[in-house]
Amino acid sequence: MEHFNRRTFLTRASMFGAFVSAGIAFPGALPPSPGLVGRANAQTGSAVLDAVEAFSLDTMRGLCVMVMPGPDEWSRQQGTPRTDPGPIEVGGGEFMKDLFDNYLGMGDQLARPLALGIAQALADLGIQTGPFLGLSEPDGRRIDQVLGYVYSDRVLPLSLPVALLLNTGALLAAPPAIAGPLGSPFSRLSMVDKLRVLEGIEGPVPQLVSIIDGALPVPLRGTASGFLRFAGGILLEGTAFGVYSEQHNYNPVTRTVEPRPVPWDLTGYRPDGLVDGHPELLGYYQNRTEVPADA
Amino acid sequence: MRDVIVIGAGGGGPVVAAELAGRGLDVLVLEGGPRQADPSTEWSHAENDANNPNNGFLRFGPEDRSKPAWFREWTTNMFVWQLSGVGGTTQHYYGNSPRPMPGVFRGYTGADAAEYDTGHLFPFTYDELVPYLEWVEATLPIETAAMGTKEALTFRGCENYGLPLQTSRNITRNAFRPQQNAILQPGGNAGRTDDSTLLTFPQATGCTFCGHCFQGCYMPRQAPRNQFAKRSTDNSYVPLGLSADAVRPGGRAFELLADSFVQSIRHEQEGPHTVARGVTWRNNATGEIFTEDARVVVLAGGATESPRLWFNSGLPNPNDWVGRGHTDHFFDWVVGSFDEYTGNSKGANSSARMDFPGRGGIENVGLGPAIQAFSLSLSDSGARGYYTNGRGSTGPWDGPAGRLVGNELKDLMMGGIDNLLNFLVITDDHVEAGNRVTPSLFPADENGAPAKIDVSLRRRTPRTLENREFMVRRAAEIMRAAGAKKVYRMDWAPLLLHVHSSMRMGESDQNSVLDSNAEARWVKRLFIADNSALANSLGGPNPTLTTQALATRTAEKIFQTYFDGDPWVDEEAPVVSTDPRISARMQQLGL
Repeated sequence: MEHFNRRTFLTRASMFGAFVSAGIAFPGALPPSPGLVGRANAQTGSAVLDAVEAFSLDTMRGLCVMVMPGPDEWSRQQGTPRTDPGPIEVGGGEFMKDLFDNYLGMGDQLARPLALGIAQALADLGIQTGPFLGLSEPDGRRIDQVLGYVYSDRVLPLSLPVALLLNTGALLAAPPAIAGPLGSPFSRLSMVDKLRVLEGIEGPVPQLVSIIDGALPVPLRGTASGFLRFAGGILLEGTAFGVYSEQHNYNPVTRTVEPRPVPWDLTGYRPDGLVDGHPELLGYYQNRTEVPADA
Repeated sequence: MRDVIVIGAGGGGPVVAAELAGRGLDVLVLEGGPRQADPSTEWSHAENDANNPNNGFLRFGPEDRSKPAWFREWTTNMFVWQLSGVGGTTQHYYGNSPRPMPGVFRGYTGADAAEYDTGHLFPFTYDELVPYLEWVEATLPIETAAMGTKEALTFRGCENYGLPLQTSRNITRNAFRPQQNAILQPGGNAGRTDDSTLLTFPQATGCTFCGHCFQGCYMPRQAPRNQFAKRSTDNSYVPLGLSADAVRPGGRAFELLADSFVQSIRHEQEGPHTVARGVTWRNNATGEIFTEDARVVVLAGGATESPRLWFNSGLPNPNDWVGRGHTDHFFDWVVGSFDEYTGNSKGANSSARMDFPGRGGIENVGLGPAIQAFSLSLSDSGARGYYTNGRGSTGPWDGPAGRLVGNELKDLMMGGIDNLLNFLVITDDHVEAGNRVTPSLFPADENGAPAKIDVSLRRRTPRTLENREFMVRRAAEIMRAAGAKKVYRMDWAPLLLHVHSSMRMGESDQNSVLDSNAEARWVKRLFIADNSALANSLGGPNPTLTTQALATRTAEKIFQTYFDGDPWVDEEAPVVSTDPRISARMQQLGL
């Protein structure tokens, strides 16, 4: 946990500054998801939003392979490649991004202060958020400016503050992750380092969260950071729920599941699809079918 | 002016409403969430479709699934499985209906009396509650669970471990037994086939062993609503209340308005007393605001929403106990992997239990892959083999406690969903004032300040901590005795399903909100009839039956106190909610 204390945090600033001044590229290498970015583009037509969406999606993919490693680049980066199907091909990243982005329908009252707090913490480090997000300097000088520019007062996707939290943690746990393959520092981490980030969020003394908390506006100090602690907990269990469910193959109009979901094959669930019953009745324990009220 | 307005159609509200409608009172029931009148065409057996917290049909939100869910603030690593809609949380419960431990009531004199939460007892005796338990057991009805493979394995573990069999409804000793469930026993083809064409009513009756309790029950297909297998209140007390005029002489059907969120309980000062006068609510679809007066208001929004509404209504809180004392059975989760078939995903989801008076209980739980993976990924002990959050204890399970990640999780899941067996540890969780619900500082939604839920895994009494460790060890040992080749302990972070006592009744006015009649101590004509009214966590048994028995008693108290009526539980016979007169009336109503 030492790597998350404030002294280490500030010491690392010079290291980040060196990376940035050396002109290391921030690739944003991930091709944008057609569905999500297409939808976003229809609303804004913004290249900035594309970059933000791609960054968040890549981070969520890095999260998904923590609970379901597969034969993909994110699993390889994590150090757990497998040959059996994984979450990338069934849209796990898109699912988690959508889950966070629709969690709050109340506008940007929560996500904006969180982003401001993270922005302040990154500013303390001397990290310019433009390069961090793969954006041009005018667009990305500060995360809060990006948010203000892109989203104005509209509902703000919570996936971005969550992704920023994970990536801030990633840069603290493994500074070289600031550059490399894939589209976000968190996705470049090994499984061990990813879990060090989560440890920093959810531990009994959540130091990563407390750093961000100190930069929040007063009314939300302690409150928004509490929410981040919750978010830290939900990251893995929510992801596990999503990627092991039928979400990718469910048609809400016909209420059918087609084709057969990958996780059902992996776990041997419902070989004949969803049915209304099973021949599973064995009878009654010792033939006890009722307990009299006065027994 | 109504006689009674009931706020919330979850596990408790419809009980009060149906009982008082049966006595001829004019009752209005307001429910913030949807009324899914035909679940066979509105629901599915799919896990994400049902339980996605944003847009699942069993979420906490308005009827229109394209609209956002309602926000609640959670302060730490936890998950609150709260849902709105007619039936409330009983829409997705397992129907488990054990009686409470006698030791958590005033006047208990057993040798183990000191083992319970003696600072927060029910303000009346267990014997006084028994007639109400029997009344509800007959109304729903409660039946002894049938057995599938996962139950047979559980019973084998109990036998090998040396636990005796409990043969009475009352909990008297450390023992195991089939669950007493609010689920109709299988009849006809039910439990004997997976051919859906053979599983329609009436060729199949009762539980079809579909394995989807958590996705809500609409089995057998084509059964009248009041004869669906699981006796959630949308299948039992709501049909009973809507048919009150058909089943009781002088009865009067209650009116039910769904998608109608109560924003405030209106009240005024009358001499030294605050008195409830009615409610204000908002139609979620149109945004219209309505008000109506009532002689009595019954608050039954649930352990989270009842305190929220109290705060947002500006009602008095002189001892600062509104929202406090929130208990949740301090769950833990033990999973066994087997070489043999376990039937994990099939059958009623929980049909075997073990009780340990003074400590808590254990029940088996069957799951599909999504919630199974969720359950294996929830922990306050970090990730097995990586970090522990200062916990990660060891014991009769394999390796340290903690969530499974990466290849370990995937390999376990790929071992087969039907090769796993789950035990839920349900702790006798003593009331702790610091676990509470308060108004959130986050921006208000259209219904006022949202609730902030602050229930810490670590903020428990020493006895609660001891109880949980005792229980989880027993769970792991019984799992091993059942034949598990490997046993995992999760050390779950708070997963709020069994929530109680956040508006508790009690013996003392120093640490309770309700008096022994379930009337608010400082607001006359306002009663509470959901889990929040419970005095404590019942010693571990699942709370729904006790809430419903208490709600029946509360209905009698209301009728006696404000309508000059007589109690009925000792005088009459209950109407069973599967009664064909109810089926006929529901058909007339198109429900």
